[in-house]
Amino acid sequence: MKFSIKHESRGRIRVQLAQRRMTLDQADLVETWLQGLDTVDQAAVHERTCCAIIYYKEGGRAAVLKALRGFSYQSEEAAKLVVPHTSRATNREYQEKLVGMVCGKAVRDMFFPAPLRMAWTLCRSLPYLGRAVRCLWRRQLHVELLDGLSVGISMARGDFGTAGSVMFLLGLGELLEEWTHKKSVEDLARSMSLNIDRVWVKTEDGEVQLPLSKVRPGDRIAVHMGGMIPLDSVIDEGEVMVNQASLTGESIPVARRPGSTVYAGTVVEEGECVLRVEKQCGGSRYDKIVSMIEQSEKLKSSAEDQASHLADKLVPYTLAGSAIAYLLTRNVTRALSVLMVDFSCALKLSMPLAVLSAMREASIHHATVKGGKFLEAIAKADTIVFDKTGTLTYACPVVAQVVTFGGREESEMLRLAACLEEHFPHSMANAVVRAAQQRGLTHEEMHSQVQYLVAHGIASTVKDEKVIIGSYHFVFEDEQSTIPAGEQAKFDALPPEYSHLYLAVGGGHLHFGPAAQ
Amino acid sequence: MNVYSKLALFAGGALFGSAGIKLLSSKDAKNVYTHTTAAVLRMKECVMDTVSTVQENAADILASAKDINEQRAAKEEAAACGEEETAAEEEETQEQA
Repeated sequence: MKFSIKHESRGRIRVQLAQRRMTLDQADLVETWLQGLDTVDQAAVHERTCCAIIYYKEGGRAAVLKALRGFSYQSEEAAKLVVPHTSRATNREYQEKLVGMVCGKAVRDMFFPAPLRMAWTLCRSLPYLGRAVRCLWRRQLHVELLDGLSVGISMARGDFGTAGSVMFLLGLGELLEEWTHKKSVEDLARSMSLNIDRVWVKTEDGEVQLPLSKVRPGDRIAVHMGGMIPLDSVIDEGEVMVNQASLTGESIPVARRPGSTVYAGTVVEEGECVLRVEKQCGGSRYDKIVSMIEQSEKLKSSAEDQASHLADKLVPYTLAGSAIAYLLTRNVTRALSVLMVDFSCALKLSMPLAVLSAMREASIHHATVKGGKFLEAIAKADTIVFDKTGTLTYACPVVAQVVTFGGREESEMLRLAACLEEHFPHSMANAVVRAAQQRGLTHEEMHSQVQYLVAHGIASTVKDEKVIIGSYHFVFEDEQSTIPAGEQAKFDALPPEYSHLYLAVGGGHLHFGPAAQ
Repeated sequence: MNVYSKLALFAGGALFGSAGIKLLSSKDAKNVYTHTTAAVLRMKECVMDTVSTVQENAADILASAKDINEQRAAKEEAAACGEEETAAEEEETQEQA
């Protein structure tokens, strides 16, 4: 690409790229590409002037220029680059608004004739006065009252210039608040959308762990139980139960079969699958996270609520201060200037920003916090309850012992259990199947359709006998199995430090216990 | 106000209400508005580009100024070091002598 060097200093170089116009996408692409170069520390691209500002490492000048000469938008390298979402569009929008406001004020003050200025100021002041009157009507003392009073009293004294300046500054403050807030939300969304950075991609050599940015549409990703689906994709193999709470709010997991679409951000609760990626990292997930954050702002912590009303509590004191200033100096200007003191901007902005920053900090440590309310709740908590294997432990239980009742043989029971359990991806089932494999027990499919009962166990029929495997609750209480006579003592002697898995055949009962660490 | 001025005002209002509005909303007028708006937008882009250029030049100046200061500081250090060395050498030669 052709370029000309506009400015150089030690470690910094500004080049202007030889193009008349640069689109936002192109600017993002160049910036991402530059930041990916080895010799570059930092890079910024301004799309309005088509300039790139590059901070390079010691002695890297020649390398940077060489790379830049070889760059082109149509090159393969550029096509393969994955550009993350930047806040370029937002910044551009707010910059324009800011410059527009300032220029507008300058033009009005310099060129408009006095009557026109007066009319404009009157028009602009109506919303402020309206809000102040509404405050008084409801007998509340809010910050809007202060604003309205200062604007109103200035205009009543005929001082339209002051009123105009006050409104200009208030408007400027609001604009900057909005901009800062939006930028913070985008920053947070950006950092959250990068959180699953590595995925298992299925290649001919097996499963390879790759960073998310290197995954292309058409790649196949393996997602195991408990994992989050990183990208919008279609299931190629495997049936899973997907928890879509983060997307749709449904608390009950839905079943997904090969051929159905699953969305980024949802969690695989049960089962394993291989997904075929449709869309690359970036867009879809980002937008969802932004909307999630905006919703979470409604889950305000009580501290945030208090802070937004804190400014209102100071209003009476400000009014009192203004009155005292007038009494002491008999100068209305001095009294008015006390009224201009406005804490609200700072308070209204600082609390949401503090919460957003805390959420961002948590996401850097791979914890997702959905709102300020929850941060406060955790601060007050002294007990935390975790759920399910795999959260605190490695979900790899191992069969420790097989205890049989009713005179049945161990290996037979293990074989039977493995035969049933191999159809399910639960970690306990995997342990049973592994144990059977280790002992060299093979089996044929001798059972009929296996039914899976969530959180209970499985039931099937083998050679006309009903076989069930599951928890104590399922086997004894639900299915009313009994311990063969005379073996109650053996049952009671079962070691309690292991997790027990119960297998019952034909209404009798046998048992064996895998251990879970 | 005498009669004629009042009459003139009335005539003016009537004319505006009938022919004036039609003129202001005709196709030709719309053309004029469109071109004016396009010109205003071009002006806005021009202003934003100027702001951007000013920002970049300011950043350049800052970087150059920092550079100059660094070079000066480096020179002074080198000069001070040089002086110390010559002073130390002189002391040594004096002691030896």
